Amino acid sequence: MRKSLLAIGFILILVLAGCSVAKQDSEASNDGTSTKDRTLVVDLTNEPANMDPGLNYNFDSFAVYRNIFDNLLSRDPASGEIKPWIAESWEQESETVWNFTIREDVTFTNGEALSAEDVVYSIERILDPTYKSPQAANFNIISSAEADGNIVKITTEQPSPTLLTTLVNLSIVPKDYVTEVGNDAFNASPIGSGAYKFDSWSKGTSIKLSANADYWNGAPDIAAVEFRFVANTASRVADLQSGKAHIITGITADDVPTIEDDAKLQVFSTPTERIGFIAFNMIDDTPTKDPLVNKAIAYAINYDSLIDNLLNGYGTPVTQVLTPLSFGYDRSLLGYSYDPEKAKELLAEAGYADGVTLELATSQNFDQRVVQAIQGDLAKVGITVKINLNDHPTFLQKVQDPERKWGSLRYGIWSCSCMDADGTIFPLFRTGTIWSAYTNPEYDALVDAARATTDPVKRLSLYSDALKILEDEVPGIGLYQVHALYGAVKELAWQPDAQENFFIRDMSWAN
Amino acid sequence: MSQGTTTEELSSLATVTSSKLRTPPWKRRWFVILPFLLILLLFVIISIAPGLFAKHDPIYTELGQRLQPPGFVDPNGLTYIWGTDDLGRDIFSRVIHGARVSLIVAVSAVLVSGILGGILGMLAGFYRGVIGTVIMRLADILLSIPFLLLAILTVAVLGPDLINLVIVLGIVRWPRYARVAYSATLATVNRDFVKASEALGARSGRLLFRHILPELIPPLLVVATLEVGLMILFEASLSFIGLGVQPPDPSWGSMMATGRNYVASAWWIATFPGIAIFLIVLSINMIGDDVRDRLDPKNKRR
Amino acid sequence: MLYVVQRIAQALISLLGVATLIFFILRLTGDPVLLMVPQDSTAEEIAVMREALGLDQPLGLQYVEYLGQIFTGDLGRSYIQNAPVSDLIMDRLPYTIDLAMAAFILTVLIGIPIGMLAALYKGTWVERVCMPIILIGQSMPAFWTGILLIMLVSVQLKWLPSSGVDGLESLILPAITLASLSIATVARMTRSSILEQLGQDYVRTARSKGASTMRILFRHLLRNSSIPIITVLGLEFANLLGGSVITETIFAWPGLGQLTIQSISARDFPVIQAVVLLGASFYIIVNLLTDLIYGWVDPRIKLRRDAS
Repeated sequence: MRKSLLAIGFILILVLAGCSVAKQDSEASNDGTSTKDRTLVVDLTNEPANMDPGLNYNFDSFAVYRNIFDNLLSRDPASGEIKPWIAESWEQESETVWNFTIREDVTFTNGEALSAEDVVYSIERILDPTYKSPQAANFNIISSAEADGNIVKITTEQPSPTLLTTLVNLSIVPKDYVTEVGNDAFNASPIGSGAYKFDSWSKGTSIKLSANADYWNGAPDIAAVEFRFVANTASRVADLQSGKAHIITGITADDVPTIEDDAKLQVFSTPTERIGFIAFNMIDDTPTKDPLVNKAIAYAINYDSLIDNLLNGYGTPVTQVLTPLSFGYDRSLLGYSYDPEKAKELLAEAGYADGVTLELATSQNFDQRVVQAIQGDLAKVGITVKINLNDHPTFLQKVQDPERKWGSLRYGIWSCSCMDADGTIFPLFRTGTIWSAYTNPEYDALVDAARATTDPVKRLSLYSDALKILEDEVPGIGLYQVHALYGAVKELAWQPDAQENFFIRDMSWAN
Repeated sequence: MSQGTTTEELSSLATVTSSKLRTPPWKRRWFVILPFLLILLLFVIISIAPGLFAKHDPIYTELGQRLQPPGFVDPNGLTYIWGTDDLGRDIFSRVIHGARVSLIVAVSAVLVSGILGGILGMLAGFYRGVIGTVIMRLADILLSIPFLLLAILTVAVLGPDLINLVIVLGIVRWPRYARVAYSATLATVNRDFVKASEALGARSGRLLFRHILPELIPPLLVVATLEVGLMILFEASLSFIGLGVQPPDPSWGSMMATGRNYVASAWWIATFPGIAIFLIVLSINMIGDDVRDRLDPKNKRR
Repeated sequence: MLYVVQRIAQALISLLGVATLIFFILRLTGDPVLLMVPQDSTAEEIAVMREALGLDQPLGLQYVEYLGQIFTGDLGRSYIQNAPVSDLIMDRLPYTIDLAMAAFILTVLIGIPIGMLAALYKGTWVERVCMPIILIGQSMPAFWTGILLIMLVSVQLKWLPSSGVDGLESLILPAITLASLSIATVARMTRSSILEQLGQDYVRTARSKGASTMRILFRHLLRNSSIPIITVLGLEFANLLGGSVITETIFAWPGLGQLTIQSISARDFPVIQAVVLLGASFYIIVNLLTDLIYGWVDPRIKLRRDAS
């Protein structure tokens, strides 16, 4: 008996000791005498996989490490135009050779100067197969990069109209430091030239950054930042309401009323280049091989209701599988609008007057409410939709299997930070890509040519023709342009941009 | 050579109460069980004929009336007594139709795993040797892997749909029945009437099915009564994670997963399915307790 | 002695079986490479990535390499986070242990007394209060308990936080959620075990000698009924460690459970393999120890087992 009491007491001590492990000395978000020195607390959805710029490919990682590192180029938040950043100017020497002049006043936070060598190193690192960078595919078009003084000479394998957009996402890492400490240590203790320096990372809980007072573009307004990872949306909203967080990401339109009703809070939103779309399987033997069926579906969907009711108005209708923010968008195309009677007509014309059953493939990564809304709309014109929901890895395997036996239609969200038609309609619809379930040699020729020249006028005309083909054959339908949504406290001032950049240096306390 | 006892086995052996302190089961007040039997009966009736109770189509979406609170009346004068969900569907109707899914999965899963496990355990106990070792070792291995992980991975391989869900639950749970069948078979095989049969020249098949199998039924039934409630909980858990019943078909688990995002704004989406799950599992557990008490050999010894 | 060796050998075989099973199931579930590459990669680029991760080798070869790594204690590197798996696990393990320990303490402090009360005060109002508590614990799915607690305690009353790890207060709700099923199970076990003892002759003898219930309880009952209770506690602890997945998901508790779910979504094979192996080992070891202790304490059990 006494032994059991002893045992219980011992366990109690262990637990209390253990709890001190769990206790985080989270910097109280509302303390500090001066509001200017307040730490900004950000609630992200997921924890970044790591801090190494070359090894990441998701929003949550970008949100953190792009504050530690600088990118080669930037975009104007309002116009989307590509602007100088680390590269202060550039010129295209020939169709395949570009010269970038690097600023000479940038230093990494360990004191070392940023030079053209670091830029070259950053590129080569990503291209190195032993490094296993998921971004390698984007940079593959670069055949070589050389440093000459403060000039970086980049040669591409063929003329690349999207090189600049890729370089907007190139983060510069310090060559000397990385080669000295190795990749693992660099990941644990990253050093960059950005507006913020890395302080600490409590795995599973938060990452802390503090302002880089010597930042070449001027010290940022916000003195320190803490990124927390809160997977559940309702919890993030609760954190915002209780003051635990000052800005949260990954909210949906349904959360907006809750936030707007609170006088202390505000919602930031901006249209992005992400597009919600439906893609049809026109390769396998399914009813959607017939463009008439697809046109019928295009008429059957109530786009306005989708946007007004599901997205609470936070979406913009589109007339093609591309957003107006992307280069190549053709404003002369009219697209399809909601007309269920016409849909039924076309279905009858296609031979399905008595209805038809279609399989829809989707994954848990996509908003299932939209999927079910589509299902509901199609049911009203006589199309029964059977939903095949898998988790994302299974979905990818199914859809990317060359046999293309994944069903008749799928819903997804596509984004290409390149903001260029090449990044959207090429991988989605050109014959032979891992996603495309459509084949048309004429279309292929157009998009192939559009990516092989850097002449914008020529490209616009090629894309216009290509998009007309897409409108006629309907291998896909553009549903809506996605708006990015963030919840924040009223005292925070910020203008989000279409690329969904999360630069803390652009934020400030408004009082 | 089983690996060790599990919590369930100990529980099943020990929900016994000493006969000396308790009135014999058949004299106990039967009306204690009555409300739970009624609930279970209601559950079964609802599962068979949901249309009698559900006034709305459970999968009809109407985006204009999303997230309406209980008691909402639409422009056509139709009432939604438990409110609508995030796609404007009637919660009450969805809960009613979800009952059928839970019932089918629970009963089928118990049948599949019970029969599979019972037979494998019996064979392992009867033939022993290599067969016995292999079967019981496999059972141990399956028991060591956390159920949820095994279920998620298996669903990832097979794809989420009702039949696969039953298969998954069957594959993951059969060891529990096998263990019980194994020990019971070992115990029975040594008993006189079996040895007598053997001495008289009875073939294995006859031994197995006429003598041993009947002895396995009570302990297997004990496990089954524990498992039915668990199966309902597991189906709900898998649907909660999104790997169970697929939309738009209603499932209590997936309804609660949706409702989780609306706890602050639309509490009714998660609450009503939750209450339903609780009532059903509670009733099954109460009835199961009663059945176990009545089956307990200690109570029969008089 | 033979018994001990036998049991240990069985445990090792089980472990090997778990490792093998998980290896092959994982490779049936999908392709991690597809999840890692940008959307607009080409088939060739994907092939390059696959080769870099060693996933293009024949399955048998990968399996042998995998076994070799396990024997040397090398858990591999995460595909997604590109860090040693053992580091990732060590980062998360303290959180899961904290949660499991807290739930375990609740189980012991609440489950055992309730079971005792229900047994000792059978037939009175005390039992009628305790039994429903036990039944409710058994009938609520963990995620429902969690959601309910969040709705009532966090959102409505605002007493406790619904996520995060800021000190003791964040531990309370997840611990209660995780412990609910355990408390019910242990309470039941305690109750039946004590009831069984109460029916024994020595109790009647003690009572007829005038001993009070309390004295009987502490001097005899607890000791004699302790074996099944301790067994159950051991198994429940193993269950708590493995069963925290849903609780961690609901409360965003950064433990192993969350790591596992995230790794499954990303098909991060090395991490999933390591976590499953870890969980299974713990379960197998607890079972082994329990069996050995059981066999040592009660020689009859050992004999009976040997005979089978």
